Amino acid sequence: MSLSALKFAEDALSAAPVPPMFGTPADLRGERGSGDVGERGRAVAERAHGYARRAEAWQRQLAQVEQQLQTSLAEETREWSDKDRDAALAFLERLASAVDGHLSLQKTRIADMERALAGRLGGDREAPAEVDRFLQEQAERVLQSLRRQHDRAVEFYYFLLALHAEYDPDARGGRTFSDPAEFASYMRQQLKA
Amino acid sequence: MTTVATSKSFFKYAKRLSIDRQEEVVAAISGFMQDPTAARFNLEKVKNRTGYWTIRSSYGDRILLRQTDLADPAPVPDAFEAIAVGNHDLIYKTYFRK
Repeated sequence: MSLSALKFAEDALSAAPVPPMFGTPADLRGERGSGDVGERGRAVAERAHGYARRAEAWQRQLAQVEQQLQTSLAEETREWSDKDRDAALAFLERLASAVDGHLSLQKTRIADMERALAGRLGGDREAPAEVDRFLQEQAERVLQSLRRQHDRAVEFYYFLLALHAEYDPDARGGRTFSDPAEFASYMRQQLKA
Repeated sequence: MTTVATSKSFFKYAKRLSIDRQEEVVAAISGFMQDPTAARFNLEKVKNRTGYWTIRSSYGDRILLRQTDLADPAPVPDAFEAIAVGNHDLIYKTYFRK
């Protein structure tokens, strides 16, 4: 597999945008008197908006990576040896493993943000309603972008497993089943072995 | 009835799972063979890989399938090979389908 395709894929993964810390009512305490979110509130909104833009751009970048990996493999498989194939499969496994780690981290981030939204932000009785509502909206915006970013990375993960399977001789053949009970019995037997 | 073939690679992935998760995989494929369009399997095409699909198992796992006949014009093919099990599921799509 060409070095440029490998580097492009690894660079894309390491360029995944990180969601910003969203504000809490305490962050905007100085702005409370006017009922307006003030300068600091606008900065929070800009961070949320900037992150959403970066997350969308990253998703487009992943589509380019998919395209490049497919093209690179399709061109090179015409004349490759078993050694070349094994090297390409090993690379795809490493990349899928890196995406796996990235996704686990994202799941933790999403869970943390969901907890924060459910508790800390919504539960502050001292915050003026406008400030509270504003921060909830910004945090929801970041969370939605993060969920979309996560789903696109999940799609990329299965794309990599599928691409690997396309060239892996072990991913073809095997016994075929049309009876679910027979399938289940065979599987349980094989998985115990 | 939908047919499913079991590849070597599928066993490799399945054997890495805990026994509970293996059992969920077996149950999901068995159920999928009977009713592939049931909502609980959340059948999805793999983006940018024609002929590859995933279905939901549980615990956040999805099973990667490849349709056996790429020329099958049906919206949901009736013959697949089980290829792999991945330990991630969609969050955003799931959230808005609830």
